[in-house]
Amino acid sequence: MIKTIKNNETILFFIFIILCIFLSIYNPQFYSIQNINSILRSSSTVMIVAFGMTILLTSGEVDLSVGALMSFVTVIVMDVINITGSVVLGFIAVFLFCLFIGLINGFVRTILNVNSLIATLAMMLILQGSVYVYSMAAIYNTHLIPFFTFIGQGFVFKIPMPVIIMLFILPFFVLFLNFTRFGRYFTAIGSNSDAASLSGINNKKFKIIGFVTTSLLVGISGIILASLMDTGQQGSAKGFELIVIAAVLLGGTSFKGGSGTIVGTILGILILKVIDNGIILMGISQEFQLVVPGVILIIAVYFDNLRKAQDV
Amino acid sequence: MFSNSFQFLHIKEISKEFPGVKALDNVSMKIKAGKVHALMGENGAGKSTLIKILAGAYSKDKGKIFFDDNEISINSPNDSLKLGIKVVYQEISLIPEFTVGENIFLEKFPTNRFGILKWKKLYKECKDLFNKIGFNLKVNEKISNLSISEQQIVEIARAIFQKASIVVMDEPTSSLTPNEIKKLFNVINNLKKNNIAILYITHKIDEIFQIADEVTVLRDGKLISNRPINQTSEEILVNDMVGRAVESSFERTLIANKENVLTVKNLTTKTKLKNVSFDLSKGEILGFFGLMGAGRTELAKAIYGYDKVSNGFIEIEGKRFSAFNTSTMVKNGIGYVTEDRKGEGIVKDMNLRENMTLPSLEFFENLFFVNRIKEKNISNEYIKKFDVKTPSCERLITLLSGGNQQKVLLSRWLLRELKIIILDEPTRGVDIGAKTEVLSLINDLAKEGMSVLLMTSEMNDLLSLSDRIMVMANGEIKAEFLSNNVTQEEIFKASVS
Repeated sequence: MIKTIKNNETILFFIFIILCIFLSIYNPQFYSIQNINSILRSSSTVMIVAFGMTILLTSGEVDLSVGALMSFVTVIVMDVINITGSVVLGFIAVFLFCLFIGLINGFVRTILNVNSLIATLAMMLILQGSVYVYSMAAIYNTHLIPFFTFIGQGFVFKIPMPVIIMLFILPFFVLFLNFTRFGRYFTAIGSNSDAASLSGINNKKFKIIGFVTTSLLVGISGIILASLMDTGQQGSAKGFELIVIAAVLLGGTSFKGGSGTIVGTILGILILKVIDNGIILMGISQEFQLVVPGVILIIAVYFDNLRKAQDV
Repeated sequence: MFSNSFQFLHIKEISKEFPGVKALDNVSMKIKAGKVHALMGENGAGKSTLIKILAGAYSKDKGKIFFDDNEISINSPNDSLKLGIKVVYQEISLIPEFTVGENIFLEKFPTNRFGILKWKKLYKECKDLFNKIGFNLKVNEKISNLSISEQQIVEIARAIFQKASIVVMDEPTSSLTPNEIKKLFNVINNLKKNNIAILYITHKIDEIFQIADEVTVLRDGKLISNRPINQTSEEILVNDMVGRAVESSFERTLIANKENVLTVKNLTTKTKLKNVSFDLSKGEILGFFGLMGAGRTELAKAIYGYDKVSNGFIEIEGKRFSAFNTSTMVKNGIGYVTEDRKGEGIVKDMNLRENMTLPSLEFFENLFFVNRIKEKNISNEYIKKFDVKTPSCERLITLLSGGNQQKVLLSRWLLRELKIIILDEPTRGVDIGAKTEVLSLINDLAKEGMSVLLMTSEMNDLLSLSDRIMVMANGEIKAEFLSNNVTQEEIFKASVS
C-alpha cells in the first residue's frame, strides 16, 4: 500500500480529477469558463510563491514571512506608483525591498544561525508591524494606469494575465530543480547538509539564494494581488504563507528537506483551490475554507512521515 | 547505605556479534568486591560492547553473568540499575540546572506526608554521602557551575546513593587534569574501602599501576589476558593490546621525489587542535594514529575547511589559506572521505549516480543543464572499475552495503583532479573482502601521484600503507615516525603519553 504512494504525483492527479468530476456533476457552474478562470487566477499568485517555497523546503528551510511580505508589497507598489506615476519605478521599489528582506532572512538563517522557522516568524511579525509604520491606511489606486490594472485583471487570448505570468515562470523552476546543478545542490543540502558541505558545496550561499528567490517571487505575486484588488492593503495576504506551505507539503515536498517537486506543488495548489471553490459552490459555510486546508495539511504530513519511514 | 554482601561479579564466556563483526568472543572475567579491575584494549577491542551489555543497553548472544553463584539476567538498563550496576559514562548525564543534592536525590526526593520536599534532610544526607566517599563539594551548588571532574564525582556519588555495588567507569580521566585525577583516585580508594567493585576502562597505562588491582586486556573481541597488577608490566600490557606482528600486504616504495604539496603550519581550532604542523609530499601517504579524542577527525575537518581555524594556515602548492571553506578547498584540489559514512557521507535521498557526481557536478554541465547520459556513463565506468555491487547506477544509495557505499564515496573524488585526499577511517564498517580492495585503491592513488592523509585506527593498515606516521593525542602531534623503522608498540606508547 505504502509502496504505491511513492508515486505521489499520480495520486494527486487522480484526486484532482475526481474532485473536478464530482464538482462538475454536483454543479455544472463549476466548469464554466468564468469559474475555471477564477480558480486559475487565484491559484497563480499562490503558485508563483510556492515555486520558491518548494526549493526552500527542499533545502530544509522554510519561510513564514511570505504572507506579511506580500501584504507589504501591495502597499509599496501602489504607493510608489501613485507618487511617481511610473509602473517601472514601482516595480523597482518592490524588488529592491524583497531582495533586502530575502537577504536578511538568509543572513539571519546562515550567519546568525537562527532556525528558519523562528527567523522568518520574527520577520513576519516585523513586517506585519512595520507596514503600519509605513502607512496607517490602505492605499487606493489614484494613478489609474491601465497597464497596472491589466497585470492582475487582464486577459490574453482569454487567459487571465496572472496565469500567463505563472506559466512564464513555471518552466524555469521545473528545469531548475530537476535538471540543473544548483537544483541538485538544493536537494543534497536538504537531505544531508553535512554531506553536502563535505562535498564542497557552499551551503550558506545556496540557502541565501533560496530565501532571496522566494522573496522576489513574493514581489511578483504581490504586484498581481495589488492589481487584482486595485488597492494596497496592510493585511491583504494574511495567512497566505500557510496556504503556500500546506500546498507544497501536500504536493509531496518533504518538510525535512531532501525531496521536492514543482509538479506536485502545482497539483497541491489546484486541489486546495478546487476544494475552496467547491465549498462556495456547494453553499457550505465559508469558515470551512480554513478548516479543510488545516485537515489536509495534517494528512499530507502524515503521508510524508510514512514515506520517510520506509526509507530507514 | 553500603549494603554490599556479594564477593564478585562473574562474567562467563560472553559473546556478542554484530553484522560482520564479532564484537565479543567468549570473554570471561571476575570483578571482585572492594577491588579496582582495569579493562584495557585498543579502539574496537570490545570494551564498549562489554560495558553496554552490563548496562543493559545491548543483550548478549551467549554466556552467563553471575553474582557470586547466582545467575542474573540483564535485559534492560533498569535491570542493571536494580542489580546495583552503575555505569558512569564519559558524557555526563546530570541535569545542569539542578543542584548537586537535587541530582543525587533525583529519583527519591525525601518528602513529608504532604509531598513537600524536605530540603534540610536532603542536603544533610547529601553531605554525609560526600563525607563517606571522601570528597568535599557544596551540595547546593548548581551542576553547571562545576568542573567536569566534579560532575563525574557527583555521578559516582549518585551511583552510591542508588546502592550501586559495582561502578563501571568509562575513560573517567580522559578530560581531567593531573590534580583532578588525584582527587578522583582518592574517591575510588574510598569506594574500595566500602567494598564496592570498580570496573575501570582506560587507555592510559600509567594510571593502571596507580589504581588497579587486576587488569584484563581485550583485543578484537577476544580475551587476551587476566592478570593481577603485580604480575604485569607496561611492556606486557602493550604487547597484549597490540598483539600480532604486522603482515605487510603492499609494496610501498618511499618516494624519492620530495615535491611539497601541502604545508600545515600551527593549525589551531577553538575546540581541539593545538599548533599542528606538518608537510606532505606528492604521492606520499601520511598516516595519522591516535586514540579516541586525539583530534584526527578534527584535524581532517580543519584542513578541509569544514571546522573553523582560529590560528595558523595551510599552503597548497605554495598558495596560502588562513580562512577557507570546503568549497574553496575542493576547488584547490582537496577531497575528504568522512569516517561517519551514514551521517556525513551519503546523501540518502539520492541514488548512486547522484551521490557519485555530487562534488564534480560542474564537469557534467552542458550550458545550463546536467548531462545525465554523461553522468550515467561515468558512474557505470567506476561501478565496473571498483566492482561496486549494484543492479544499476540508479539504485538508491541507502540500499547498498557499507563497503559498496564506501567505494562510491571514494569514486566521488576520483572524478575530480585531486592533489590531496583526506581519508578518515576509510575501512571502518567495510567487510574484509572490500577492505583489501579499498586499501589497494589507496595504494594505487598514491602511486599515480596523489597525496594521501590517512587517518586510521587500524594499526596494520597504517603500517603497511603509510610512508610516514604522525601520532596524535589531545589535539597535538606527539611523535613522527618513518613507517619502515617503527613498531606498533612504539606508536601505541606515543599515543598514550
